[in-house]
Amino acid sequence: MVMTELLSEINKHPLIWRGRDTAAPSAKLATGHAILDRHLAGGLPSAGMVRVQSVAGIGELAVFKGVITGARQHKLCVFINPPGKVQSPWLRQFGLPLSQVFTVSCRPDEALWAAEQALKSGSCHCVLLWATTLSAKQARRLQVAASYNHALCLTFQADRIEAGLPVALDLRLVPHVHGLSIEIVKQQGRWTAREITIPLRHTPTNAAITRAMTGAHDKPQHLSSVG
Amino acid sequence: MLWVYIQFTRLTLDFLARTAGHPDHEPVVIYHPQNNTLVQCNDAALEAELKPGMGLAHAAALASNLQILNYSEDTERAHLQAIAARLYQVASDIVVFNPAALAVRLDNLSQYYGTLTAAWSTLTRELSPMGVTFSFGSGWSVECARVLAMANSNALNTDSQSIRSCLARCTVACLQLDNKQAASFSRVGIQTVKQLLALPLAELGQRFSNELIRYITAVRGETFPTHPLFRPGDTFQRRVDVGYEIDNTQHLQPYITGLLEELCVYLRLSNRCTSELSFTLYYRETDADTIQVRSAEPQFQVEQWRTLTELQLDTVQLSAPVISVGLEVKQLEALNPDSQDFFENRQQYFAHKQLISRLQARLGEQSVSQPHLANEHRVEKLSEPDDLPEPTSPSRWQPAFLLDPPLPLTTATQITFGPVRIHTGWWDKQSVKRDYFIAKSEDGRYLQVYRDHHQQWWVQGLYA
Repeated sequence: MVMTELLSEINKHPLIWRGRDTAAPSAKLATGHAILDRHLAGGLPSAGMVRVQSVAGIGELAVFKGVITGARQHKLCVFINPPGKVQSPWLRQFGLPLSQVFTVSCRPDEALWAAEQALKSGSCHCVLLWATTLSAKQARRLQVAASYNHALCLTFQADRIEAGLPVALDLRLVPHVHGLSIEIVKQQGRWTAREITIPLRHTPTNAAITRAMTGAHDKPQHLSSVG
Repeated sequence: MLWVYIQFTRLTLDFLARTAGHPDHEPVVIYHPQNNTLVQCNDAALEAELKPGMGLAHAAALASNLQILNYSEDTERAHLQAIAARLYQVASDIVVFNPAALAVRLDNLSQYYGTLTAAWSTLTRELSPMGVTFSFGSGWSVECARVLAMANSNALNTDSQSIRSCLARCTVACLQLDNKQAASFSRVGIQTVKQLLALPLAELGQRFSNELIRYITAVRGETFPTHPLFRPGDTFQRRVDVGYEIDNTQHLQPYITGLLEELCVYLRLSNRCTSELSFTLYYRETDADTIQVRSAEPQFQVEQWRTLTELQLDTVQLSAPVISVGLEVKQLEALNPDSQDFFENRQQYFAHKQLISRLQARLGEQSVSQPHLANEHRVEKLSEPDDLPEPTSPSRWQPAFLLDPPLPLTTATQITFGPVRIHTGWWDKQSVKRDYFIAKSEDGRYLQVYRDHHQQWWVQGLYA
């Protein structure tokens, strides 16, 4: 008797989720990659914190292009401590108007403060934060700030990754021959998944030239590699 | 109370340079025909040693290619109204002093922006896109701030100690006195504001008129005369002078978009919308033409109005070159409460300003920035602000992030794109000659690499 009471108490806890429950439908932002959207029940959460475990330079922004540029276009996108200076021609090509973009560069401890301020201001669609370390408590604060203010916080982390953060979604990106391989480490209200491969081309290539050359000479031309 | 007084030193010239769209290299001066003096000189004119206050003959002797425009107080007033309307978006208490000065109350703004400095930087950020030159001063009353602005203090004094010491350094010439009052001061040997401040009020009362006493107590911050505050008008009316004669409706588009943007901010702030715009095209010789643009339902967004106006303009044949464009909106309608979108945007508009001020206040102005699109080929200067118009087709192979400074390439990579040779910049002694490639490293990262003229390889960017 006491045991069942205890269990039903536990069942009411918001963080307890049982596999047979279906998740309450919440607003999603489609990534535009069908297979990923299927695993994520429609896309990234439209409000909340998403951690992306990824090294810089593998297409970690290109994969979320649909999410970053596809919704709430009148609101701001704030880049906090990006791994380099954000280049305007790229922003233009990516589809973000320059007037909607702000970049903040500061110390790591101030970066979290800035992210929270940006989320709380209610004027941001998306805060892109590159964090060095992130504790459970800090992640929780950002998650709350983001979900209460209907904003998305994409946090990129390359190393010193702490497991089991209280975030809406935790993803790991690994480069793949054809693009990216994505692992859903954790998501609220649904199952995790491994090795979702997404074809991705985010840089121009010499393919057209190579094709033209093969057509002309009937033999493949190898481009020199450098090292 | 804390007021800041902003004196615009060359309003007509600044607005002219902005509409012409480029920094001017020819000397241009504004000439006051009644007084036979120059009143405003642009940078090129100042370099040619022209000064405000000179006579026309003197000026013409110094610079042969001088361009002279007549001063008109009405034009300055109109420009000042436009500035006040723009500042009204971020400030509440604004006093307009025709023809070329504004006073803004800062202390009540500090509640919204955090600190007085943040409030002031919000104002300057609003002013800087207009490209206006100004001198300013801050003080405990409008009059006090004016004295400091006239003395070119150009510092934001927030505590009474520093205001007092700044004020003490000013001469009597900075005060707002008529000739008779100035003469009466020099008769009694008062040359600096410091001497004036030291005098007890009773002694001043014996010697000077009531009007002057009121002014002096206001400068000393003992009384606060009330000034009528700026309120945006009930109808919207703006006019821009285009920099050159335009005979093609397409070239009018940027000026019209500018007017529409101003209109939409005005509408958003006053919770109104409108269903009819009337544009007036002014010509040099013939009478002005009016173009009506109507919409089926009331609108408040720039994009909607811009498309409608574009369609309408396509059908218009210009009978003569246009020299200025006006926009007038007579009928403003109350907003239909169904359109929730309006309020969301409105709140977001202010939240945006507040966020930027807050971040800048704590992290410093340099830490928070907005990217620019430069008309450049050198990769490291692509996002630097410049005075040139934006390139129409920015290069499409740039990385998301630029590493500054570049790092030597140490890992093995495979080239996937390139080369792109950049050989430019001979004009400012930072010339570069590099071959750029996109390379994929062994761990799957896409890097922007280049080979310099010493055949060394560097990583300059990351493709995210």
